[in-house]
Amino acid sequence: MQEVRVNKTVGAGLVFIAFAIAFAFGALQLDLGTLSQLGPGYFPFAMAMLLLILGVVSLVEGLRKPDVSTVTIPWRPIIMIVVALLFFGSTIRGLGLMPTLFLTIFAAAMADKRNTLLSATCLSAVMSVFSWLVFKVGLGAVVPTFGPWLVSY
Amino acid sequence: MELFQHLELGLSVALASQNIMYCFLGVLMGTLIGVLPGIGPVATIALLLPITYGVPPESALVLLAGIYYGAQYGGSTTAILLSLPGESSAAVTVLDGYQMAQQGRAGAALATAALGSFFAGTVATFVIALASPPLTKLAMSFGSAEYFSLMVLGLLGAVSLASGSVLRAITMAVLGILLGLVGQDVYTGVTRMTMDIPELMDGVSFSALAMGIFGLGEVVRNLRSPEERTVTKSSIGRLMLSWQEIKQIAMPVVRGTGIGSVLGVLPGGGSLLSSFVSYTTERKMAKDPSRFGKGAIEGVAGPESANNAGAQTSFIPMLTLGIPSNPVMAMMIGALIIQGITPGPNVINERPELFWGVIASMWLGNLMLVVLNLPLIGVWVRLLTVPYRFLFPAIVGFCCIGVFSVTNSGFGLYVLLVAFIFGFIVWELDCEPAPLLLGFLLGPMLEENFRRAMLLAHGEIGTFVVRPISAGILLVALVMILIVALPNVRKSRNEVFVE
Repeated sequence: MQEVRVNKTVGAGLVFIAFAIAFAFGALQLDLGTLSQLGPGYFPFAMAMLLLILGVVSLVEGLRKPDVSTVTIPWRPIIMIVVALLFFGSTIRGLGLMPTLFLTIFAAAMADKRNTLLSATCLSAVMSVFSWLVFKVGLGAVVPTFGPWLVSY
Repeated sequence: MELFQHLELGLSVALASQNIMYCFLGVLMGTLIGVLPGIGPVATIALLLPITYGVPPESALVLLAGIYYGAQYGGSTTAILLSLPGESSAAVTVLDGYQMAQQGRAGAALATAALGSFFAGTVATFVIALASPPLTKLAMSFGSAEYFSLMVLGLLGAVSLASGSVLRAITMAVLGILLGLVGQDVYTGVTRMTMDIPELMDGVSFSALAMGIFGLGEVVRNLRSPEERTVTKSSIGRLMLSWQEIKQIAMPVVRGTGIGSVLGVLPGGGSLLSSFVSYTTERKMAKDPSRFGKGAIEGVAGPESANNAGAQTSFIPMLTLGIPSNPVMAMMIGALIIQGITPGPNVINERPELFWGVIASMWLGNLMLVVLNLPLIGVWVRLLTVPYRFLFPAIVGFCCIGVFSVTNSGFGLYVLLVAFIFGFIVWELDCEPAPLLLGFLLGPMLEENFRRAMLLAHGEIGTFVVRPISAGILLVALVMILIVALPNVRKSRNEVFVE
């Protein structure tokens, strides 16, 4: 965990402005059309401009009345969940449902330091069998139980 | 009478063995997540969206609706027994419910909550059945300009009644609209703002977005704060209410039902607002207001009826107009869209079995909840002792399989990842993501109606204020925003949410 001091209003303004610029840029690549025949870019561009205005308002408000507060960033949970998602996304096709899910849940369990290796292993085992029953047996998911990286056809 | 024909059709759908099963599954899961602190209905419905992919649309909605009102019940159980509202709408139940439990009257409080909710649920079912057809007819007569204005009203209404800064909520809604526009343009087929990623051609996946922001977001926030809960040691007491108590709760239940039925229909209304208003009303009407906060049974009866009625009537704008009034309704719309059904006034005519089936199932589900909750209360209490650290890895796992099965690609997981990080950042900046979700779903519909209206008006942007109905709707929206922006309303509104 890490404590960071931020001005939330300014932060929100900056996030909104960044998105507004990105979307405005994207919309300008498209045909804006005319008012009686709107093109695909018109509405996105108008919304991006609205977002920009709102973002600037937030930024100005935050700079005028600085409200600085402390935010705690729980690094461990964030990183472990990111690892779990990346692992799942990149191996589900290769390893198949069971092994991927087992390791994904194991990684996720490690996000909380009160979970021990033993409890994480038990949780992963129970959950992957349960999910296999629900998704593979119950709902007939197309993904193989054990993928091509493990089983050769 | 037409009403009874509709309800009969609805019951025939709701009583189909498959739908009874989904209804039961829904209220069971709803109760479960209402009881388990740290798992809310929005996140759960987000998690379960992929499962509904494979079942008929009516079963899907029956299931999701069951989760929603089931969670209201479960939330009151923890509010009474633990002083811990499992659901935000049960927050006021804590005030008197927990006091009753401390005095050994937990059973009476639980019974009051269950009976009040059942009564409210029954009445609300009829309210929906009566109010929906005329509203649908009205909506059918609307042109694109009116529809656009109506959606603006829906969005602003939902935003202005939410907690937190109105400005940020509106901004989040606009950002949501933009995210909803990513993908192919329906008119010209051009791909828009996809950053040349082919997987984004079909747009950003709603389930990945919702699961990343709500499902995984909740996990991280819960992991940050240490768990603390103590199950009340005192016995639950008898569940039967005395004649005296029944007389005491009768009027609060009726008033709560009325308040909830009306407020639930408003955009942004629903169960939270209803329970607050009902509590204040009961306190004002009581002969001896000082009893409140010390175990007044009316303080449980009113809000519990109100939040259930509100939860149910909030389905009205979603079912008749296709406009979600709160994040849970947004999830329902998401479920319909996944099924290939465009939400809106056409649903009632084109899919009457879906429409009336869902409504009838709500009444059936409320009946099941009484049975599930009162005799089985001991089981739920025991569940409260499951630590969160055993639950959350399963949630992460479900998010992964869920997103994968909807998008059928590893790419969906990366969208989930980005949504998760994005959700964490905005939540920490005090920007609530619920309006973003509403904007995301309404974005494409807003654009379509805007473009069509402009085409019909030959580019006259004034068409939205020249047409009387459209102008009226926009005026209401404007007044609503102005009222919320007024300094003293703002203050009292903040007080309500802090309480």
